[in-house]
Amino acid sequence: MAEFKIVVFSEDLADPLHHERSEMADLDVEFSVEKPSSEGEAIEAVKDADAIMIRGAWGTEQVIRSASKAKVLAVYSHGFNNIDVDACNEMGIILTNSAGMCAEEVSNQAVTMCLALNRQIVQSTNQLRIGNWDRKHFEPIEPIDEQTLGIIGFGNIGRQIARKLGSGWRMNTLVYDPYIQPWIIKEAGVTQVFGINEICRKSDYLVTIVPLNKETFHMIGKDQFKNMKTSSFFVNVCRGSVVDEEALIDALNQNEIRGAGLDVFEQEPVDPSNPLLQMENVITAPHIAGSSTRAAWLSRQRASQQVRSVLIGEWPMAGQNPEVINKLDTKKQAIGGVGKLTGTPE
Amino acid sequence: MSNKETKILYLGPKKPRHKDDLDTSLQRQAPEEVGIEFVAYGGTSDGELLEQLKDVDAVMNQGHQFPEEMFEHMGLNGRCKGMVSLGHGFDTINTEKASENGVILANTASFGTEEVSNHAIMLMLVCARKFVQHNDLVKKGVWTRDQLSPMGHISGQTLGIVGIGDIGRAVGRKAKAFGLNIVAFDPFVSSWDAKEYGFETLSDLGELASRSDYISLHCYLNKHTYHMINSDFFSKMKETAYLINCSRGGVVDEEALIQTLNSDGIAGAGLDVFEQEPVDPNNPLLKMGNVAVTSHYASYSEYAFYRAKIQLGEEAVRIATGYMPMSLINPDVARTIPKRERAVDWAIMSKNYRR
Repeated sequence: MAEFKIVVFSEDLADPLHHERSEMADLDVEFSVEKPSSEGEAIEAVKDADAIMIRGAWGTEQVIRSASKAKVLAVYSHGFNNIDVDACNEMGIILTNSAGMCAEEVSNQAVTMCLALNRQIVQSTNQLRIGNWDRKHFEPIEPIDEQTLGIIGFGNIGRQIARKLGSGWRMNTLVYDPYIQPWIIKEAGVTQVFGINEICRKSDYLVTIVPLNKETFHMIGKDQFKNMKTSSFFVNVCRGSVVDEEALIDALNQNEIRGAGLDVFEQEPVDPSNPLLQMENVITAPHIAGSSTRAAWLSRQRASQQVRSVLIGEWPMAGQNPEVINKLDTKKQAIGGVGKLTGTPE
Repeated sequence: MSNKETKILYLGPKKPRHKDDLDTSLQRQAPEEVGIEFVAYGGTSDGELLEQLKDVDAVMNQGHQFPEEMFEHMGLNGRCKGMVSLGHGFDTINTEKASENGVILANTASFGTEEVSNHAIMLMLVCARKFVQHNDLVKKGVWTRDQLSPMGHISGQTLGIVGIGDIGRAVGRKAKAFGLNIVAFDPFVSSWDAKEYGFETLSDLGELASRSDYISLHCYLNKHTYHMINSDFFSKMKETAYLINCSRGGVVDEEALIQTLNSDGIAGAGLDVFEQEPVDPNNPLLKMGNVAVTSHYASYSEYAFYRAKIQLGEEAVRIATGYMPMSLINPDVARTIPKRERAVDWAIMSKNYRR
C-alpha cells in the first residue's frame, strides 16, 4: 500500500491524472478517481484519504467530517465557496485553491467586458444584424482614458485588472479592499477608497473580483446601485451571489446604471427566463472568465503542487484557511518551486 | 471593553540623540484618535518595565532594547498582547520566544521603502558609473579616462534582486526605468505574485549570481540568510559585476567579500551596512576605490520617520483592540492565541472602533 492515498473527485472516471501524477512523482502515492452520485458515496470515498482533490461538488460538512485522515483538501478552481471551510478548520484539513491558475484569463474577461460595454460591440453587432445603421443609437461613447475604474477586491486578479486598464488604458483606478496593505496599493499605483458606497459613487466602471463568503454575499445591493452613476457600467467576473441579482435587475430596469457585463449568476446554469438575458444593455458569458487551454492544465498543476507541499510537511503557497494552523504542527513555510514555469513575464 | 480602559505603552530610545526623539506627538496620534490612553515609559530598570507591562494592552518600541524575558509576562501570560517596533529588520528580536508566549509582533513595514530603494539604485549607479574613483581623482587634480573600462551600458544589462518583498519590488520597478532586465530570487514569493511584477524568478541563487551584472540584497537577516552571500556565491559572479547591500551586514560574509575584491573577482560594491556597526575605521572595504559606502542610513528621510511613527501607533492600536496587525512578523503566533479580527486599513478601522 502506498504511503498516501489521494482521492480525486472527477467527472471522468477514466481521468488519467497526468499532471497530478507528474507533480507528485517523487512521493509514494496512489490515486483513486471517484465520481460520487450522492453525499453518502462521497463520505465513503474520502474515509481513508490522505488528500482530497475536488472539482465541483461534495465539499460539504458531512463529507469533510468523515475525512478523518485527510491533511489537505485541494480545489481545482480559484473559488472555494462550495467547500465548508469551518469543517476543514475543525478537522485540521488545510484547504488550498489553484491560485493564479486563471488570473490572466479572468482579468482579460473583465477588461474585455469593460471595453465591450464602452465600445457597444455586442449591441452594435445585434443592431446591424437587424439592419439598424443608426449611429446615434450607441451614443454616448465616452473616452475611456478619462474615465474611472473601480475595482472591488485587490488580490491577484484585481491587481492584474489594474495593471491592464490602469497602466495600459490609463484609466483613473480606484480600489476598495479593506484588508489590503497600503504599501501594495502604493506599489500598484492606484488610489484606495475606504467605503463601498464611495467607490460606487466615483466609478464609471465598477468591477467586483472578491471571493464569495459570508462577508461578500450580496455586498453589491440596492444601496450600492443607488450610489452608482446613471452613466456607469457594472461588471462581475467573480461569483454571482456577490451581487443581489434582484437589485441589479431593478437598477437596470430603472436606469440607475447604464449597463452590465456578467460572467456569473446567482443560479448557474442561468435560468433562460432570467430578465438579465433579455436586456440589450447587458452582455453575458456562461462563467467562462477563467477558461483557456493553459488554465485547464495549470489548475491541475497548481492543485497538485499544493497537495504535494502539504504531504511533505510544508504550509502550501495557496493555503486558504490560515485558521487551521491551530490544529497543525507543520512549521515549514512553503517554498515556491514553480518559478521557472510561470514566474517568467510573458 | 471601552476605549478608556485600553492603554498603550510607549518605549522611546534609551539614549535620545535628537530633540525630536523626545517629541511623541506622532506616536500618540492613532491611539488618541480612538480614545486610547498613551503612556510614555519613564523607568530605567527591567523591573519597572515589567510592572508597566502588566498595566497596558500593547507596547510601541522605538529603539529601546527590549529584554526577551518580558515575553514570558505578555501574550498568554499577561495583559500586554504584543509589541510593534519601529523599523524594518527584526534580527534582534527572538520571534520564536514571542510566538510560544502568544506575543504578537509587528514592525513598521514599508516606512522606508521609497528611501531604501532609492539608496540601492543610487549605489548601483554610483558603482556602474565608477563615480567614487573619478570624484576622488578629479578632486585630486587628476584628469584621466584611463580607468573607465570596463563600464556597462546599464540598459539591457541584468539586475539580480535577492528578496522581492516590498523594497525589492520597488527597486525592480525603478530599475526597469533604466532598461534593466530583472531576475529575482525569493523562495517565499509565489510565482503568480512574481509574474505581476514582471520579474523572472529563479529557483537557484547561484543562477542569479552568474547571470547578474548588478546584485542588490533586500532580504531579512535571520539564521537562513546569515552569510548567504559567501565565497561560493562570489565565485559564480561575473568579474564585471557589482554587489549592492542595503539590507543587513550579516547577510554577506564580509571576509569573503574582501578577498573577492582583493583578487578582482568582482568589479566592486556599494554598501550601506556592515557586519560590525559602526564600521571599524580599519576595515579594508573603506580603503578600496571601487567600494562606495554609506553609514546605514538607506531608510532615512524625515517623511519616512514621520510615517513610521504614525504607523507605530496604528499597529499598537490594532494589537490592543483585538485585531491582527497589518505587518505581523511572527505569523506562527496564530497557533498560540485566540482568533483575532483581520487587520483592516486604518481609515476604516479607526471609524469602526469609535462607534
